[in-house]
Amino acid sequence: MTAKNTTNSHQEISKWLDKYGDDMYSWAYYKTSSKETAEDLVQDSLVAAYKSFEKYKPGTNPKTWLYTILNNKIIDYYRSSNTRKSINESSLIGNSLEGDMYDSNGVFSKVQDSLWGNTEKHLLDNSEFNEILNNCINALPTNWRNVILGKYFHHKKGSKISKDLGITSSNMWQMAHRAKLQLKSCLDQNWKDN
Amino acid sequence: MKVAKLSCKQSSVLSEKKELGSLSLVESIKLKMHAKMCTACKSLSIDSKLIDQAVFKILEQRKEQKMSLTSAQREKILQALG
Repeated sequence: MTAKNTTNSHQEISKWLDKYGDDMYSWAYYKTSSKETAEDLVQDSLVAAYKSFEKYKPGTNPKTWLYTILNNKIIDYYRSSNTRKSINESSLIGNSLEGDMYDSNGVFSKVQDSLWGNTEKHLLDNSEFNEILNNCINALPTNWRNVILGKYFHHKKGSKISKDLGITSSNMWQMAHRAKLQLKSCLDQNWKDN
Repeated sequence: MKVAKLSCKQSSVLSEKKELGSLSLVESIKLKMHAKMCTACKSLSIDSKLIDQAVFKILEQRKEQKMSLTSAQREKILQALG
């Protein structure tokens, strides 16, 4: 890129950030449940757009182009959430979580009371409850959270979720199970009105 | 509570497997037998379904949620362009 082109593309990207930045940020948050990750993804996408600015076809909708880049970054993020480090970290949490709930034979070590009895419908409309669950979802280890998000985005189609995340099916069931236990435990601790 | 050679823990994992669409006939029978005889699993199963519904509802609401980058976040992004 020449100096002039660089200035032009910098100005253009800056304009796009003003115009589409919030929408991209909202979309990335919707897809990842993490504000930090959403911010990083917006940044990475705009940097990528800047670096390959010559690939943008003038006259076409820049938002479409930016969203293509962003969605690719989101796919990369899902894949990379299953690094050895994050798997090790979530395994530790999972083992301690299961250790609290089950004995060595995999049998519940204490009576499991249902959190809500017959109040389901009322609870789903309870804003305080939803706020707590919202925070519980965001606090899940990244790779478990992505399985939960995958269940939602892929309408529970397991094969698509495991493909997106680059994990085996049995890993996915295990993570979905542990994520569920963690959400229940988080609600047990934070939801007092029962 | 160990029924049909399935522990509560295995039963919970199989429930997730069922939800994600791939339970064999044998697994399905084992899970049903276990669920019939294990009251603790029944409670977890009720909670599990409710958590799923509530999570789906929250994520659905997020689709409409408008977020805004702060001026500091914008500045950081512009700096990253170099």
